[in-house]
Amino acid sequence: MLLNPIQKRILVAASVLLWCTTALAQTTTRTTPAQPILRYDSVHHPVVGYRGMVVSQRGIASHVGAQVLESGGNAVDAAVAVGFALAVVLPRAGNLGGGGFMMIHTADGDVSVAVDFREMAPAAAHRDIYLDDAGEVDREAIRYSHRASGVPGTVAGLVHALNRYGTLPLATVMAPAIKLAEEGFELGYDTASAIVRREERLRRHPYTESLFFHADKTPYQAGEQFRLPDLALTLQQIAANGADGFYRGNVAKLIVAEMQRGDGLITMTDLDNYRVVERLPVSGTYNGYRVLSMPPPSSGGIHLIQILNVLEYFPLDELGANSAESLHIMAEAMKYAYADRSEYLGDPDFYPVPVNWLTDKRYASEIAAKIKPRKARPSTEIAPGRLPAPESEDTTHYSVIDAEGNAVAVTYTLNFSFGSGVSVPGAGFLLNNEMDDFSAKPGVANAFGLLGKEANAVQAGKRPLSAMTPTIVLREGKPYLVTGSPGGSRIITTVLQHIVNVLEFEMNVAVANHAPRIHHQWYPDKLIYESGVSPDTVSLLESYGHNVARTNTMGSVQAIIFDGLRYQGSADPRRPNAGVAVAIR
Amino acid sequence: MRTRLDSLSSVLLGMLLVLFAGCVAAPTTVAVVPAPEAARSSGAIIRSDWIHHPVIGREAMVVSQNAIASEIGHQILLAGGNAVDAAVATGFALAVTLPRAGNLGGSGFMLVHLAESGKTVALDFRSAAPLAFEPSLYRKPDGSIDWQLMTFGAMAPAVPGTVAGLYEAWQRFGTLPWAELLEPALELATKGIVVSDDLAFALAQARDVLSRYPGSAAAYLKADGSTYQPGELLIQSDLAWSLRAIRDGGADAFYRGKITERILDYLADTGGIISADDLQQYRVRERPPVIGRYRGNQIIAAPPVSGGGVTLVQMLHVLEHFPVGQLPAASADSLHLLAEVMKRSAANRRVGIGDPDFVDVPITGFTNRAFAREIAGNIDLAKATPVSAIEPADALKLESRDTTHFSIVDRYGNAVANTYTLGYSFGSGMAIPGTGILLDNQMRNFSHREPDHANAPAPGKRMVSTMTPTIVLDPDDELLLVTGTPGGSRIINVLLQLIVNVIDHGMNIAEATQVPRIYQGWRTSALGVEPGIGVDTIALLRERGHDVGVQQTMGSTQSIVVRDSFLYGSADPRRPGALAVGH
Repeated sequence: MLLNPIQKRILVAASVLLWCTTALAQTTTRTTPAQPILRYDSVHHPVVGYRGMVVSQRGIASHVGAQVLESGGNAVDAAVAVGFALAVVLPRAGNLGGGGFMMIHTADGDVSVAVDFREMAPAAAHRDIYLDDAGEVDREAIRYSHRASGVPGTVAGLVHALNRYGTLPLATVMAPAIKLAEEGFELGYDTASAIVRREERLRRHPYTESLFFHADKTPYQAGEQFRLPDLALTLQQIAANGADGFYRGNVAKLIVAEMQRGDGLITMTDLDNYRVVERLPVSGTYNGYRVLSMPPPSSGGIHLIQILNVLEYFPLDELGANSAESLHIMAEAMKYAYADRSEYLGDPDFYPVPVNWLTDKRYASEIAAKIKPRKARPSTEIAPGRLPAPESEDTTHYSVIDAEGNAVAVTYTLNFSFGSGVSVPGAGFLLNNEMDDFSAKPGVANAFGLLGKEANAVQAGKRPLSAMTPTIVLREGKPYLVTGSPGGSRIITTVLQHIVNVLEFEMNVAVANHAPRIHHQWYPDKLIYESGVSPDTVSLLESYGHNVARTNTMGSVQAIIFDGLRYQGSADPRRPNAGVAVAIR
Repeated sequence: MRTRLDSLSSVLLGMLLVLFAGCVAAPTTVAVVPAPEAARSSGAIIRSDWIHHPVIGREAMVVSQNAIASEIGHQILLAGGNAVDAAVATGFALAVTLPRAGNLGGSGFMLVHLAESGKTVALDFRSAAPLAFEPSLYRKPDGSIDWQLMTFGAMAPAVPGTVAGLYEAWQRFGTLPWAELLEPALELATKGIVVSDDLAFALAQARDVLSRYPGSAAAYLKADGSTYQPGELLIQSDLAWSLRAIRDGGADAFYRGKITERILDYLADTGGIISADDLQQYRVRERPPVIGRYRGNQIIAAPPVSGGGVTLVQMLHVLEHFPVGQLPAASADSLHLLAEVMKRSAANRRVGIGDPDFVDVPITGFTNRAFAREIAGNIDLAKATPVSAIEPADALKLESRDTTHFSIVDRYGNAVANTYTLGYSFGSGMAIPGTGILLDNQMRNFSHREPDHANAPAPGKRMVSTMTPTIVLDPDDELLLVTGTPGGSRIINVLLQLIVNVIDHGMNIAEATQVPRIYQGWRTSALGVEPGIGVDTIALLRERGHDVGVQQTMGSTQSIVVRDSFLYGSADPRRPGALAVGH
C-alpha cells in the first residue's frame, strides 16, 4: 500500500501537527492487559481469528471479505469487495446509489486517510429548493421523491480506494457480488421483514416494487432465493470500466433518464463531476490510545473525540459500567457535544469547521467543569434550543483488518432504509435520500439557529452533514480497535460507548457490543436507553433530573480488536444476520 | 387460564395479606398471578426493541453447545429423521466435538415429548454405583473419605449410562437406521475436527490430568504430550473404533461386547471395581416426569434421581404467588424475590432425594401447592432472610459446569430435551486405552458422609443429580419451550430464570437467555450475580441484606420456543461455539 511521496509527506506533517496539539493535555496512559481468549466470567465471547477478519451486518458479505483476504488481498481489497457485496445482500443500506466514508490506517502508519465519498448536492440544488409555497419544508420532496437524491458517491469511493490502496483488480474483488446478484441468495428473516415494514414506500415505484415483490405482488419471503439480475449487469459494467461504468456509461444514462422521468435534479454533468475527497482523519487520545475518526462533512469523529476528552476527566471505571453515575456523566457530555454539533458542523469545503477547537483537551476541560455529579443540567441551560434534523438508522458499518494489521473502517448509507424508495429501472439499485441531511430551511426558524443552519444549508456541489463515525483506535501506533455503527444521530454515542466499554471498562469486544446503550442528543431533552439498562439505574437517573425513556435498540456495531496476534471480532446482535468472518489462510 | 390451584384457604390468604402489607414492595395480590398478555402475544417475529434475536425456523430445529453437533442433528432432521433420531446423532457427535462434556462414558436424562399422544417420557440413564461398592473402598487409612479417589482415575467412575440411554431412546422412538445416526460422529472422529479456541483452551486446562492416563493422552494430547492448538486437526481414531463397534453392535458393543472387554481389562489392571455384571445389568429407567403448573403452563421436568425437576417446580409454584411480571427483569425487586425463593427451595432439597429404586422420594411433597404457599408466606420482600434462619439442608454436590444440554424439535412437533455429563470437565480424566472413551467421576455425587441419607451410596444405586431437561407446554397443552443447561447446582436456578423471563417477562428466547443471571444457595449467604447485573441494582440488593458478589457466568442453556408455528432457537453465548440451527 503506497501513497506517492508528496501525499505521504503532507499527511505525515499534518498528522504530526494534530498530535502535538492534543498531546499537551494527554492524561496518564492505561493499557488493557492481555485478555485470555475464553473467560468464564464473560457472558459474550468474540469470534477469534489469526490471519485477518471481516465483520459486517451480513454474514455472507463478511465471508466474501474473508475470502479476498485469504486469496492474498489486503484490507482495502476486502473492504471494496464487502462494499459491493453488501449492495446485494443488504439492499436497505448497502448500496451503489448512496455514499459514505472509509477510514484506512496501515500497520506501518504510512497511510492514514479518510476517504470521503459522501453524496454531493446536484448543480441544480439551492438553498430554498425544498421549501413549498408557504415557505415550509416539503418533507415528501426531500425524503421520498427523485429530488431527494444527492449524486451517489459509493462506486467512486470504492473504486478510488481500490486503485490507490488495494492490490487486486476491480473485476476480482467484485466477482463475488456479481455472483450473488446473478445467482441469488437465500433471503433472511431480517430483510424479509424490512421489506414488509417499508412496503408502502417500496410499492410506490413499479420498478422498485419489481425488485422486492414477486410478479403476483407478494413480498419475497424468508428462505426464498432472492436475485437481482439488473444489479448484476450494473456491477459487471463497473467491474469492466471502473467508476466510468457508473458515472459515464449506460448506467449513468439510466440514472439520468429516471431523474428526468421523475423531475429529479441529477444530470450527466453532475455524475461526471462527482469527486472523491481524501481527508485527514480527526485525531484524539483516550487513556493513552490514539483515536482516529471521520472528519467533516461528518460530525462523528469530532464529537466522538470531544466527548472522550470530556470523559477523561471522570473516574468512569470506578463508577462502574452502566451505573447511574457513569451514565449520567456520559449523558451530560453528550448534550454539550450535540449542542456544538448544531452550531458548527457542515461541509468543510464550504464552511470553516473549527475542528481543532472542538477536539481540544482544554475545551473539554471547560465542559467537564460544568458537569455536576448526579444532577442533570436541562438542555435549555446549555445553549439555545433547536431541533436537529431527524436522521435515519439504516446506514451500515463494516470493519476489516488483514494479516499485516492494516485496518479499514467503512460506514455507508442510502440514508433512510431503502433510501428514497426510488430505484433506477434496468440498473437494479436504489437511490439515496441524502438531501434530507441538509438543513432545508436555514435561518428562518429562529435567529439563534442561523449559524448552524448555514453551515449545513443546501448548496450546489456541497456534501450534507453526516454523523457517520468509522473509527480506528491505535495502540502504540498500530490499529487496535476498528469500529463503527449505523444509527443516524445516535451513531456517535453508539461508537462512543463501544470505545469506552473497551478502553475504560476493559470489556472484551463482544461484551462491549452487547452492553445496553443510552443516548442524549441535547434536543429533545431526553435520555433514551435500551432494554437491559437496570431498572434501578433508570430510577436513579430519573432522580438526577433526567427525562428518561426506553427506546428501540440503537446502532449495529461491527468491530474488531487486533492485539498483534489474535483478531477478536463482534457483530452486533441488534440487527439479525450480521456476522464475523475469519481468514484462515 | 387453567390452574390446578384448588382452593385458597381464606385464613391463609388473610395471613399472607397481613404479612405483605408490611413490606415495602408488597405485591398487590397473593393469589396466583396470571402471566402478562405480552408473554402470550405473538407480535412481529423480529422486533427493533430487542438487542438479541433468536434463530428462526418453521419446521425443525436443533440447539446444542457445539455448532458441528447441531448441524449434524439438523441434517438428520432434513433427512427425514424425527427428534429422537436427531438427538441420538447429536449425542454421539458431541462426544467427539465437545469431549469435556459430550460423552459415551457418562450419564444423563432425556425427556421425549410425543406430539401424537401429548405425552412426555423421561428416560433416566444416570450412572450407577458398581455392585462391588463398599464405603470402605473410598476411605483413607485414617477412615476419612478419599475424595481424590472419587475424582480421578479408575475408582472415580460409576457405571456409564449414555450409550444405553441413546440406544433405548432410538429403539423406542427412532425411525432411521441406527447405523445412519452414528455415521456422522464416526466420520468426525475418523477424519478429525478442527480444534477451536474453545476446545484448545479446555484441553490445555485439563492437560495435567489427561496426561496421567495413557488412554487420555493418546486421545487428546500430541505424542510429545503437548496440547493441540486452535486450527489444528484432532483425529480420534480410538474413539472411531468404539463408534464403529456401537454402530455395528448397538449398545451391546458397549455393555457386553468389544468395548466391554477393553474397559474391564484396563480397569482390572488399574484397580477399578466396575465388573462385567455391572455393565450387563445396567438398565435405562423410564420414569414419569415431574409435572407442575405455572401460570397455566405445564412444566415437565426430569424426575428423581434428578433433584432438579422437583425443585424447579417448587420454586415456580412459590413464584406464582407474586406479580413477577410486574417487577422489571433484573431489577433489585425482581432479583430479591428470586433469591429468596432460591435459598428456600435449595434448603428444602435436602429431604429425601435419592434413587427412587432404593428410597421413597416424596415427589408430591416437593411440588405440593400448599407447601409452596407456605414458603411464599415466609418471604419478606423488603429484607433478605439470612440463610442461617433457614433450616440447613443437604446440598447437592456442585457438578461441574461441563455438563451439556441439547434441545430438538422436529417437524411433527416431537421434542427432545437431553442433559448428559461426565461429572467434571473430562470426567475422571481417564479414557480407556484403545477406546477413546472417558469415564465419569460420578461416585463423588453420593452423600458419602451420611449413611442414612436418601442419597447415601449403595451398590447399583444411582446418585442424585441436578440435571434438569425441561419441557413447557402452554395453557392449551401445546409445546412452548424445550430447554436445559449445565451448571451443577446452578442448573435449577438458571432454568427458573429462563422460564420466568419467557413466561412472566414475555421475552423472546434469545433475550431470555442473555439476561444476566443470579445464584443463591442455602449453604452460604452469598448471592452470586453475573457480570451485567446493574451496579445500582447490586447496591440496592446489599441494602436489603444480600451478600452480593459478582461471579463467573452460570449455565449454558440451549433452548427452543414454539410459537405461532414458528420455532425460535437460542444457543447460550456463555460458552463459545454453541449454535441453534433450523429450517
